[in-house]
Amino acid sequence: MSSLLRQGTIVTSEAELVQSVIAWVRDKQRSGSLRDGEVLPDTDLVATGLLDSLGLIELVAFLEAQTGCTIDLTDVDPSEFSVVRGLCRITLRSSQA
Amino acid sequence: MKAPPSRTVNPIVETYSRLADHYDDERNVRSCWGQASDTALTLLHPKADARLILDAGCGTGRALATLARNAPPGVRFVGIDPADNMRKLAVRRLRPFPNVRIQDGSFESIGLDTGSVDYLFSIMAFHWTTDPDAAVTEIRRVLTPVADVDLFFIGRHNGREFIQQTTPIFMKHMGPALLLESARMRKQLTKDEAYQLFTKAFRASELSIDESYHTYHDTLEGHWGWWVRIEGQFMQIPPARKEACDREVKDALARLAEPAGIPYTIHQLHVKVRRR
Repeated sequence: MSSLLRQGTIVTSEAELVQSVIAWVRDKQRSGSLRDGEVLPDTDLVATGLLDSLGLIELVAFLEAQTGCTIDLTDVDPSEFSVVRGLCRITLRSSQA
Repeated sequence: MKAPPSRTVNPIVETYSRLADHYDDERNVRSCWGQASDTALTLLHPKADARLILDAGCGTGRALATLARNAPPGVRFVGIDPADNMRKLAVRRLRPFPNVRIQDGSFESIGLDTGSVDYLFSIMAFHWTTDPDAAVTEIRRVLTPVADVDLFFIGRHNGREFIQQTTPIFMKHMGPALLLESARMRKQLTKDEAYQLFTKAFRASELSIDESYHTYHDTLEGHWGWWVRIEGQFMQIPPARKEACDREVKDALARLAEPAGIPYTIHQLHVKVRRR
């Protein structure tokens, strides 16, 4: 797996990217921007109502800023995109393309 | 005078233009947007010495007609809108008022002289800007040094009931790429984001932002008429999936029903610039 630059540090694993997404969601929940609800690696952020379309835009922008890559959403499976771990895998695939 | 704006095709502008003939339908005028716009209109207060008043995103000219009807002699009005058919209707409505001019323009390219506008207002249009930074710079450019501004537009949490219910449906039928592309058509800012944006062009001491949430109730048919117009994703759904998507969306909205009707909350930001 390729190394990804993240705010001066190196993200080397899917697990680390997953944790950064979970931290992002929890930070938004603490600030009141997102509704409360448990968020885990296998949480579907859309089906649970945690993120709406505008929230997804913000999360994609966050991931692109974290990794320095543009996430390619062409032909992406919605069910993979909506889940924390799946979105991170899509991000990593984009960074390797 | 600046050259007329040159734009690539904007699907929102195209849709507004295509549906312009229905914009002043009774149902739309009575909808939550008609009510919110009427309230905003009562909050417009150009200074007594204002000579040139600009309505940015004037639509069919309803606000301009009200202001022009009550204006003292010597006041000139300009309305700009990027949608051709909206402008045609505005011209027709405002024909009795020789002091009103309607022209092509947008927030990013207003098409008036630098330092010429004494009062700029806009009702429920600024969220359609394609480039917020360019828009505030352009607004600042056309104002006189003492001009005031009133902009009413939707904020980040607008329509949260609808969006939360329908995002999974649109995700299923459109896929992530199209859904995000559609959602990006609107610039829905938080109050803090709006403040950051406008302080790039105006001093903090001149600027204030009022934020409000108002929940309107209507029937499914009442909401549907305007919702398909403002939601970019409706234009992006592949035709083969549109019928099924429409049905699922209508079912989801119907499940929101309360005794008073189906709720829709308008999160409104009112940006005020006062410079004297």
